[in-house]
Amino acid sequence: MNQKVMDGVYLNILQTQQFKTIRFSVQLVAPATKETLTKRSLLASVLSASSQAYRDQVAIANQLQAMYGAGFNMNAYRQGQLAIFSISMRIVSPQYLRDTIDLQQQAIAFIGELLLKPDVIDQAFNAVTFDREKENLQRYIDSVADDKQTYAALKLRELYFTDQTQQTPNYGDADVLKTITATDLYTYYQQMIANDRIQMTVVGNVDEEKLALDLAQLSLAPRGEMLPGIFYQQAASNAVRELTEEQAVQQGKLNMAYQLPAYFYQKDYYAALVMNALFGGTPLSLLFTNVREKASLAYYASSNIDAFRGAVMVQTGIESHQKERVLAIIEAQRQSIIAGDFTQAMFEQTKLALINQFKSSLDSPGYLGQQQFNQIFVPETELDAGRFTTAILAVSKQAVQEQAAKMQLQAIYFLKGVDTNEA
Amino acid sequence: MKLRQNPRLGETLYEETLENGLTVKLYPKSGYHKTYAILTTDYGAIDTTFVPAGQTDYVTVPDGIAHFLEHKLFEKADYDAFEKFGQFGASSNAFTSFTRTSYLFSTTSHLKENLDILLDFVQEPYFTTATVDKEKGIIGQEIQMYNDEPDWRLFYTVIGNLYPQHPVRTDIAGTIESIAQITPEELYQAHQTFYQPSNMNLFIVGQIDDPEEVLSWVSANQDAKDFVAPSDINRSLPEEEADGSDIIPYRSLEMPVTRSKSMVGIKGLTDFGTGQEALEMKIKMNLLLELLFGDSSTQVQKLYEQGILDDSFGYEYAIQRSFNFITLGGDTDDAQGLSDALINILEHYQESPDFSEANLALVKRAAIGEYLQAFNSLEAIANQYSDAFFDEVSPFDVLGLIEQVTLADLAQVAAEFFKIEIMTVCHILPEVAQ
Repeated sequence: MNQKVMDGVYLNILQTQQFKTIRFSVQLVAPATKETLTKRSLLASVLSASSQAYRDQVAIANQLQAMYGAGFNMNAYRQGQLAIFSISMRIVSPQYLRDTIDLQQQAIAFIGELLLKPDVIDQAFNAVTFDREKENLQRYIDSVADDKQTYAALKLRELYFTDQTQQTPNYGDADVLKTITATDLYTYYQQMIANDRIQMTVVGNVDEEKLALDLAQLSLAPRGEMLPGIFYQQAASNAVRELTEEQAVQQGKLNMAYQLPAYFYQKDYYAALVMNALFGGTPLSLLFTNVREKASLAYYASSNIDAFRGAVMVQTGIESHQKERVLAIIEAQRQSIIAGDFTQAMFEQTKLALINQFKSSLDSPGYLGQQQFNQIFVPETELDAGRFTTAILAVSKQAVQEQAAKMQLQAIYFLKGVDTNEA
Repeated sequence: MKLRQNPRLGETLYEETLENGLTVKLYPKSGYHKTYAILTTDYGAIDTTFVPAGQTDYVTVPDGIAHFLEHKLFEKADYDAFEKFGQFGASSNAFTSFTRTSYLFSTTSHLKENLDILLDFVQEPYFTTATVDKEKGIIGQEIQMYNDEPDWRLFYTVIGNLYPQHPVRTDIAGTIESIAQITPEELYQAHQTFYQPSNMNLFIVGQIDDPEEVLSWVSANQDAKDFVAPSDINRSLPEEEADGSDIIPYRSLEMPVTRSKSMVGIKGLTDFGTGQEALEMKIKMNLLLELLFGDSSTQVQKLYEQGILDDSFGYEYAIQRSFNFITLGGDTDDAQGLSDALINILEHYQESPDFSEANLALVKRAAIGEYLQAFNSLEAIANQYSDAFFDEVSPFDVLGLIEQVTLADLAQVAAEFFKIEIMTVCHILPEVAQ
């Protein structure tokens, strides 16, 4: 149950004895833009590098060690149209320790120190820390180009989305980053802390009264509640946008984006889940078996749903001279779903795989925390294994065929490699 | 069944060795939806020279054969094991390391049926020339993909420098040339030799309502099959210099990277086996490396502030049957500067401000917490505790082993390993435009 702590600040507790840990997260939510994504990404690095109480990485690491190897993570990402700044901590559930240490209080205090008492001098972040973290983020952005699979995925998104914010990677934009100063970032930080909607989530075996007292230490202030809807939509285009780049790599990467407006737990979502699982979402899917296994055309070939942005993305690693054959065979797989040309057995086992995947994820505290969070913004988010199972089993063959027919190819990105055996 | 109980965690590990020699371990986890089962053979990429079952002379087979066998076992005359698991919605996978090959599935229903599929597909080989030839294309793609990965190349260059002869120097998947030579006969031969039940263990963890019943399913499956009597397995490895004098001290490569990479490798010259001694060595080495190079290291912090290393920096100690080595490194603008700095810390560990009783106490406390937290993950439990280290030692003994480590123990380990004559360095540098 999501409890309102004050205007704009919420607490959601999932009581469970299943895990050996307690997981706390604090998420600050604001509308995403190219600028906010970049600033928040840099903030995650700067705030987790030092604070007034913990002057450097060593001081932070020592405190985490003293808290029995507590896990700590600060990161910024996008979910649809929202920018999320997230701090999470994982501690051993105190019942398993032979120690009287108050880990829960310490963990929450630690979150407070890093998030709310940053290392600031004269209305700007500590210049040494700021410069170093900015440079590291810059380097990180540059190095993404070295991982060709990620690089191709990012280029496809840049090509597919018409909105600048959606074209921007989770970690932000290199050009925006260059312009940010230590003063700008501190000004933005103050706005974020004062105005962002705050969602706190706890997963584990906790004493709720004590938790409320420990969280009160954070001294958060009330704030506004207004946010845009989480889902992103764009008009479909009649022309397919294509981009080919050439690089000296052995393996080519061919990625494609389709529009499919079946949003997270909204109308047609379950049918789209089954369709994607049949198409390329599981290792038994058509893309995997027919492109990779039967035709030996690709090392990997898969698809996934971007359910907050209404798209299906396909990614493959191929020999570059096979591009046209791979494109044709991928489209042929989609056509066979439209035609209903798949066996009842495959249809049923695909549904079982989705059910298996859903139930399995209930064993992960991180997933449970994330779904609790999603449910705040998308109330239809399903957390119950029984209801999810019923909904998946109810998806008809015809509904799946319709979803495949609704997919509209919008963009093709090809990273052409150097072939040893040109056709 | 033998029971190992842990009152602190409130959990129990059940163990049984079946008549045919197969070891079965069961670890029920209350509240979990999923069950994860992993069947492992003590056979991996380095086992290329051995005496085939029923024969007397050593043979040497092509590199990459253990991994090739792993891929090929899924495909049968009349079914594909992967698809068979899929009929129940279960997912399956497999992986090959230098010394082990594992097959696994995870499921939230039909545990008995899935266990039968797992045991049957791994124990009933089927290879033909046609299916073997087709696989060469798929694995060839895999090898090519890894060749594009700079971190992969860095790692293999380092171990290639440390081990001029030992097969650990070769990619687990083999090379395009070596896998081209693999025949169905060689795959059958490797299977007969290394997939004997007595060379294997099955670890099941997660939702297990009745351990006795699950064990009876496994027994029934095994009793219905005929196995030849267990035989000893003889492996052979090429000789390397006992003092490490054949180690190649340095190599550099140019690749299309934006930043350089630098890695230091250290070869362990002592064979610690695979039992408790090796496990203790692993625990000590991990504590030592965490002290000197972990998140709380002031010396690493200094290098970070100087811009000599970044978040990509990491270290690893690999200790498996017949080899053990350390690797440490990451991305940098100054490949030489980073490797020099790392070697300097290693050689002067005694003067390091991080090498202290107080820091060891913290590092041990973190290790205890991480050990307890790992019991959240079915994969972590099964993958760790199906390892050879735990043939004799109980997973629940690890806590005591961590607690007993002293700074004097770490000094002894450091004195044995941190010597320049058993180290190597590799740099990967950005290509210079022509």
